[in-house]
Amino acid sequence: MTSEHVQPEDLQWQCAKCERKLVVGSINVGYMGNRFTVELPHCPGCGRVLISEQVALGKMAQVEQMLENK
Amino acid sequence: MTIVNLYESPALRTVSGPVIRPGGFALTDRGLTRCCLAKGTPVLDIGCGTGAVVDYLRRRHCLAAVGLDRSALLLSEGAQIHPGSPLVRGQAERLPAAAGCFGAVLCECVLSLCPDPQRVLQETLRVLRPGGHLVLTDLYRRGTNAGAQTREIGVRSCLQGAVNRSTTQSRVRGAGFNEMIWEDHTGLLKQLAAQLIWTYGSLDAFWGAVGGPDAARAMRRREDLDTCSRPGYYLLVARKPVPVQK
Repeated sequence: MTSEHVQPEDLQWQCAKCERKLVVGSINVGYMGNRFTVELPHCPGCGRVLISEQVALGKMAQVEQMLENK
Repeated sequence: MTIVNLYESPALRTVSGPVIRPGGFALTDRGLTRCCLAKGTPVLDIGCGTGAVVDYLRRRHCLAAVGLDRSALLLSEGAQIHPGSPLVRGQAERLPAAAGCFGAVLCECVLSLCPDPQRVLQETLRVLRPGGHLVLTDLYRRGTNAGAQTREIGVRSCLQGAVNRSTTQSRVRGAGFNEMIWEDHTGLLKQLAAQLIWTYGSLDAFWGAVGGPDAARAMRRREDLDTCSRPGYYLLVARKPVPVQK
């Protein structure tokens, strides 16, 4: 685990397409024309990203709310 | 209550990187494209912090850049990170430079921190050559000026001194500049806010990391005002007039 928003259990997943274990690394996220970089678990082969419920309803929801404020 | 300088806070700098503001070097580059500076042109960076932009201008653009900042802490760090880099301590309201000696002056995310922004702009005009450029980037209020220049509470940041576009442009014109270019870069401010939320969990937690629980409470009160004033970020490039030859 290299980041507080990546839980050890997140890295137990493997990519359904590539069958490779997920790794933690920088991911470029885009939302409403804004781009920023976050650390998230993803497949080292195809790049598919795992966003846990905790992250989706926590930090990601807060970021979305801030970006949606005009 | 102790006042914390946001620009000195490790909590911000870990996320913003060494430029300590939205936009990074890319926004500086965008401003410089409007200036058409020849290699070796003397350039002043007001509010240089640890001198990251000064070093970048010298290495990447081959400009004779020098930096000025009021923070002894940041200058001391800068001397270690960029040994030999020309960084001096001073106030933007009293620039320690002769009249007409710079081809461009950068003032990025600094003017809104200055107690007397009009004086800073007048000083900037004084030290520029005729035809020289001011590259200004800063927070502004896309709504009303409500809350601008209020008492500093908890954290000293650009939010306190930010004013709206018309006030900013009036100040720049009032100092004697012309040929003004204005660009909105609010997206860059949002990107930085997004990175802060991602790193700390919320903006509230970020302000707490900057100055403790009292600062977080104080900044929460400010955010109510800031919701009405809608903080944005701008790039403004203006030019010192060239005297007409008779």
